[in-house]
Amino acid sequence: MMTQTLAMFVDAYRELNAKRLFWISVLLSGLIVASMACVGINQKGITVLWWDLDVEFINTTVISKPTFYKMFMFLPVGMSIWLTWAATILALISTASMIPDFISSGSIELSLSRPIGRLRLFLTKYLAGLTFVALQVTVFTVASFVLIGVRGESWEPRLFLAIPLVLAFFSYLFAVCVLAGLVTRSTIASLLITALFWIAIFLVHLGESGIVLELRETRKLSIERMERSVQVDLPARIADLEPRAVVPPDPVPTDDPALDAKATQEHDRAVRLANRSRERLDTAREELSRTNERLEQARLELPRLERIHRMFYVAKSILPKTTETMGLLERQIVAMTDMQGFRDAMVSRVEVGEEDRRRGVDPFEVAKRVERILRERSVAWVLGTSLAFEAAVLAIACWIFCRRDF
Amino acid sequence: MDPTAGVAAPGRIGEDAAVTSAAIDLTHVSKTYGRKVRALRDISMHVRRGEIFGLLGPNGAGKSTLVKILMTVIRPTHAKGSVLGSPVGDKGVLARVGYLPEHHRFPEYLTGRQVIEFYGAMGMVPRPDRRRRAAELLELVGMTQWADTRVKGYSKGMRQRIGIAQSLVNNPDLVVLDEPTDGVDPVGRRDIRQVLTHLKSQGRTVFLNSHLLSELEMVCDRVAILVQGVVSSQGTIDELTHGQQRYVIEIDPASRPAAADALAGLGRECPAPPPPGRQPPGLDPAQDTITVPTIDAAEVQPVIDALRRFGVIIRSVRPVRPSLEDLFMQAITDPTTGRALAPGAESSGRKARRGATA
Repeated sequence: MMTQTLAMFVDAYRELNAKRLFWISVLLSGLIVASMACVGINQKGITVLWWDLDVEFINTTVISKPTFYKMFMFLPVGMSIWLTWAATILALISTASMIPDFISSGSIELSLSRPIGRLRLFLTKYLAGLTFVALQVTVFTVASFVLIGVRGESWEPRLFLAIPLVLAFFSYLFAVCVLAGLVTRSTIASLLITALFWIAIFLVHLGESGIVLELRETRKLSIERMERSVQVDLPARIADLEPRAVVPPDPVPTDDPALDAKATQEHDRAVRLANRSRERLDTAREELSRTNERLEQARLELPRLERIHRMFYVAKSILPKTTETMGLLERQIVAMTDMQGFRDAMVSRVEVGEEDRRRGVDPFEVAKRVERILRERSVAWVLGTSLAFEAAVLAIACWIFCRRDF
Repeated sequence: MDPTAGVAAPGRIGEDAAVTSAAIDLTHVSKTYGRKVRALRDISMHVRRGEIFGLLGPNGAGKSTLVKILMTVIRPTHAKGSVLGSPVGDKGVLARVGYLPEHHRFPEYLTGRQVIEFYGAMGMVPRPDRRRRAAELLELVGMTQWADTRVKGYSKGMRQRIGIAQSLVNNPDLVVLDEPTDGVDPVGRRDIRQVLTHLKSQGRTVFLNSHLLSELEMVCDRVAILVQGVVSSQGTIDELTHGQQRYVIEIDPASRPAAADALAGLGRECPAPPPPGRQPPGLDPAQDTITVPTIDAAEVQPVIDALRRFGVIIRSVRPVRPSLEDLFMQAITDPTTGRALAPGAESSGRKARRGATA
């Protein structure tokens, strides 16, 4: 049994070895790690080779060296751009032909006519197909581990979580690619279907986390602010203004004209102050009324947003969660507090927009809340439901493979 | 190609008892694609151990379907029977079966040696044995010189040789070869024939599916002819041609009238009708031949005597047996129309059309 499994894995490696794309990917991985190594951080800002760039909000007084390499190099460049986009596309192009070639006439007979069950044959082939990404991500992670260790002065073993996570991420797409290849028998068709599927899950993610969740949190924050305004701030202001808005009674005339003049003058000033307070009071009451109306409207809109979000959430729960899967790595290697200094520096530099100010919403606060919600999503939900989807797709593929006459 | 090179000596299947038992024993094998196309209809076939068995039939007759059912590539609609004593569809027995599919495609990134070793591993052959067998088989099929060249650089004939080698890597008891001489030059064909006879001499069973009737005729002990998903006949070539063997006497054209008189006289001398199914000797004036429908040389003697009495000049007397091609053509000819049957499997649509035209 092991003989056959091992032979299939060796064959998968030989197939990859014969493809230029595999070696191009390895070369690009090396280039990316080398380019990351060229960038550094010091007390003033960023260094690129022998040049120093003064950056107020990215320097070692704001974030630590390891955090810089993890948050600004490894995660966004190495993971988000390279491994989860470019290298994944290259891997899909390299492996999409695997199943159509495997089941093509003249080839499949050679495999099926061996003493190996169809289910095991198919699943072993599927796992062997993941070899491409396994090798790529291992090479890249080891190089990044050394880079962060040497340049960032922090040896971070949790970095190696990237290997299973990137493999899981790729396997969601590869399962769809395999099913499409099995059904259509065409490499091009399976690639197109996988690309469309990838776009679809990206759009669902964007809709859920990027738009609806942010809108919901913005609205919630806005409601909280309005409630505090309606319940605390505005009543306090009204309570403060009401006694001051009372017009004092006319002064009682005396026999002393000078005294009367002074009293009249003071009365007029008091009336002016009372009138001004009344205006402010009216404004505060109007604001209270308007805020109450807005609050009511916001409270009415919130369930609608909640409903839309729930729909997206359900769709997302069914589909594989590529972004969240990669987000698990960020959760593991960077704590929210690691980035606090950087966030504070950014907040002090960025002005809040007019619309956000009118609504009394701080976009950084919203972003923080969204990030917290995303981070609070359990690993079981992120990986469990995604792997369940993959298992369902694979089960369909296995059923087709086991029942088909080739 | 040296048929004696490097192939393990027989022993495990050489016993008499094994030779007489069935390598393939099929009863009631059917395959219907969808609900209409009946590729195989109630096939029964018996292949003895240690023989070379040929399966022939026109395109679309169901030959490849039958082979693929044996190799578990296609699932039969209905099947009873065994392969090397195990039920049809049993995966375990495939460790003792070698297979070369038609139009096979080996991974182009592998070398010939790697192909043999890879399929050896898939056939559960232990690693040291695989290496040894690969070297032996490369020698056997004459590919040692090209062993470490990638398959993508091979010619069709070279790929076929590697294909035969990989089918033998697991030292199989039964070798199923689908068009093994396809694309191979005459020298290569002769080499392959020698390999086949050598396999037979080792007591292995060879199941051969081929269009090349002359090739089959040269090596096969028994054949089956498949037409539109049905076995129209099977047996040894002698068995299949029994009743069709004859003697042909060629005469001089100038003796044609004398020959007619001689045959008429012979009829008078033997007033009793010939046995059922047997025609009396007949003259073919177009070819100046007299056909005596018998395999017994003694029965020809009176005819020769009669011809000699009438002064007929005899040019030659030779026994004639129908070739495999004759049998094949008979099998695929519709007896009612005298035309070749349409190629392909029987479908309900075709059946309906045939009914309408009948």
